[in-house]
Amino acid sequence: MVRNAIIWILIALSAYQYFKAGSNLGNEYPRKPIRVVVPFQPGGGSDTFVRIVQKTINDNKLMPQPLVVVNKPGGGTSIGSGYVKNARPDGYTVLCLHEALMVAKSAGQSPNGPDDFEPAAATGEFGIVLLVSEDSSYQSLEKLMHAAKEQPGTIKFGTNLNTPAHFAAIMLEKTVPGAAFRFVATGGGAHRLAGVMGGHLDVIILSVGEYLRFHQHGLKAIAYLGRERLEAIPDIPTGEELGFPVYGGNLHYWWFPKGTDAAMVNYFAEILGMVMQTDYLVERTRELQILPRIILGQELADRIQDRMKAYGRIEPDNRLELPDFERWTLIFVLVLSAALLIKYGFYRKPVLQKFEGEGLRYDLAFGTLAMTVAYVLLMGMNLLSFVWATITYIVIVGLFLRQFKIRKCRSVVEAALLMSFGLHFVFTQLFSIDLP
Amino acid sequence: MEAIQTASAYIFSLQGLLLVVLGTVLGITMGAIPGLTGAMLIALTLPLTFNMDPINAFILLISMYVGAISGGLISATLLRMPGTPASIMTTLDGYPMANSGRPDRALGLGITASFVGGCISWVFLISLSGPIAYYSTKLGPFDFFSLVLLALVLIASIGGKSMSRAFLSASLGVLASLPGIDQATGNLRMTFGFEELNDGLKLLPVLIGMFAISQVISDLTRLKEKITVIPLERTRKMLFSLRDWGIQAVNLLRSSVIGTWVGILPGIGANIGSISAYSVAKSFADSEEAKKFGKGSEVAIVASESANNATIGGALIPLISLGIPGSVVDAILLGGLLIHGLQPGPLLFQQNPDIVYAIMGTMFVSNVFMFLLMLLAVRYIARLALLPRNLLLPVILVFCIIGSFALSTRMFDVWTMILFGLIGFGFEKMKIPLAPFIIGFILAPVAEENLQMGLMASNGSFLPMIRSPISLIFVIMSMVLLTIPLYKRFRHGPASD
Repeated sequence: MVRNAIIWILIALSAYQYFKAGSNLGNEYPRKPIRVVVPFQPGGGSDTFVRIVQKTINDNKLMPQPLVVVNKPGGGTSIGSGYVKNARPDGYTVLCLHEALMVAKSAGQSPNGPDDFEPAAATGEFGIVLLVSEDSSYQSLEKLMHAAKEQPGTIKFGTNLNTPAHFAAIMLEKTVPGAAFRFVATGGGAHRLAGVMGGHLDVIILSVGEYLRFHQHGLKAIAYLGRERLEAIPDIPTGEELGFPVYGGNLHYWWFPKGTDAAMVNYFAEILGMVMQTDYLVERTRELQILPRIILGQELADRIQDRMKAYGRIEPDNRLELPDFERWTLIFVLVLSAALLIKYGFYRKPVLQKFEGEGLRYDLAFGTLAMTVAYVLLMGMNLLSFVWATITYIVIVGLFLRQFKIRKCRSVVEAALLMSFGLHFVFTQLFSIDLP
Repeated sequence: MEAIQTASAYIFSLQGLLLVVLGTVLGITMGAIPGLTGAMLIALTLPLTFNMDPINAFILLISMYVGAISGGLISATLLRMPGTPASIMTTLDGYPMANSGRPDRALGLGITASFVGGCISWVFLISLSGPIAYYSTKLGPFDFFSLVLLALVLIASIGGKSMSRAFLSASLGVLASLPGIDQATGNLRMTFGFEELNDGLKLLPVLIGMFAISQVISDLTRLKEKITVIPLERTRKMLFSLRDWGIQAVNLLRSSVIGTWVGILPGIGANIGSISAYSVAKSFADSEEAKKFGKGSEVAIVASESANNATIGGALIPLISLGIPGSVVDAILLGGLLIHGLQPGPLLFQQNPDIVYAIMGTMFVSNVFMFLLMLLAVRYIARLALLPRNLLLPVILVFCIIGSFALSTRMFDVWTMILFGLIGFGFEKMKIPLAPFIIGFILAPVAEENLQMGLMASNGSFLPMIRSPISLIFVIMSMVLLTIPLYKRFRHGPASD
């Protein structure tokens, strides 16, 4: 009895939460939470910045509705940018992405470029530094560039290819005619760091924030690629001072899908302007070495055009033929499968051996699987929301597995209600994970 | 030092201890329910930890790992079904002993052996991983590439019965890791025009598919099988007597060390650890004791259970010092590190020492809780093993779907999961082992990235692979591991499997 009461109380509570959340819609934009898509893993530089903005907006109630962060990492940045590009232009989905969007477009890696979006603002400028190890023979930018000219193609430069950092390095090469680096693709910042510490790389690029976190590991910064020296690293000269005018500064741009109402875009840009002035944001960005700058309107449009031109002039070439991993793997798979087939053809052993135990119920397994596919289809095509789809699914599958003995249906219904409303509550409220 | 304090502050806070207890209890329960495994539980919990603090997340996940490996012994003993693959060997002797009226004794032996095995491997974990991580920062890209090659050869040649099947499984795993962006050039490959594939197949849906969905399908086919359970009436004589300690001391130590070392080998997990310790214990036993093996031998239960828990500490060593998973569960934990924005590899120790110490600390604390919980509550947990599976399985399917969906809120990952569920089920029917697939899937990008990095640095020359002494050692070891089984087959004819 007590058990039943507890179960029904839980069901009632979570159902109440579900219906309550659905009913508080107002009239003016924004009527519901605005989702910011970050095309990187949680915890990285962009993600941290967006979450600071999110906290500022939500804590100070700068908007009537909260900002929600959604991470869509991968594919360079094309997964996240593609998602926003294809989202409904209703003002409730916005992409936050730095100049990687432009680099990926002009390097031909991603179909999505600035033209597919309505930019709202560019915020938070962050710089990059060139680093060598403390015992490196290139203790200054002059020495490095001199060596790159004397022996072109020998200095191992660690950077991910076709990223803003790589393009900055190519611009650096162009300041000295005849200079060339040997670019080594490195993966994440940690790999780059390990490479330069272990002596496998000569020079690397890190963001200022990363540099400040790791600088005690025997690294020496030889130049800051920005227009003026940075307050936090006053001893590090800029590239321009040393005679190599390269600017690798980058900002976080906010992009709405093409066709979003201009009033909504401007409203959001205004909110961002307020965010940049709050004490909390100024303080947190100082810790991360990000300047709380904001660029809006015509200036923003000019900057985007200007940067696209600059990146468009660069033709990244892949300077080395690498082994074809795909082909080798395919050959390996084919050879092994052939070997296995020949082996069993030769010894006349069935490849599909008889399974131990009689009376396996494939009908139950594949029946359930078919229902699962139907369940996912219903949610995927937005025909039913998670809660109703789950109730239906668990009731039907539960009864199917009990061979439709109606007498036992009570626990099935309990489980279905508890799972649907309960999980909806747990995931959306406690863990803030989106459900279909 | 500071990191150790941070980590212990997390573990010994109220929230931390609650997470340890929750994780251990859930782990033991899932371990005890036949057909549900620890790998499944951890893969399904991972999406729930997205918004948790990474340290808390790992406290929960490691506790589940410890609990799940230990819980399998309950159903192995009382139901004659290994709750997890790790307890297969325990079934052979635990069930006969329980059947002859001494279920409490069988469980007691297993519980204490599990605890001791965990503790011994923990000592190895804390003393070895630091130095290994330190030396591995000196490894160059080619050294790393050869190390990964060695790992793949190891799992294929030691892991299962059929080397060709294991290699096929591993290379299919490598194949599945290829679609998406080429790390070195940033170009797309093998996406066949699907924009969703630009990011490749994600680890989590593949894992949930291979280990949870395929398991659920196979459980559903056996849904109507009757399960009989040996009732556990008294739980008094569970602790070791002084005499037991005297008899089992050497066995405990030997089996735990074997378990730890098998754990360290990449990709080979708890089941192989306990099988090895079991057969070694049998060969060391006197003839009278050896006869009892398979009929309820105390030595056998102790060997199997101490070894399978010892693989936990062993398998965590390469995970935190090199970023190479020591077992399938560690492969999931590796994915967990990535999801939380932590970079596995030699630098983890320097960049996120708090996580490393939290993992180490949790393993010990959870081991203690596991011991106490199993002693006090084994009767109640044994009852949970009989939850109605026809209700449990659809619920687990819903969890699988949410778990895959939550990763990046798109249905594509759910379809990936269902597809790999079917593939996993097919693998099982064709007796192709699953572990090499997952290890290949995870290690291929590491191998490729390091090879490309090495080649770009050496301007396209493969020579550094045999010129660097460390890399040369790994290459020679892989060659030897490859040739020994081939040579044996050449002399003795094909093995019958």
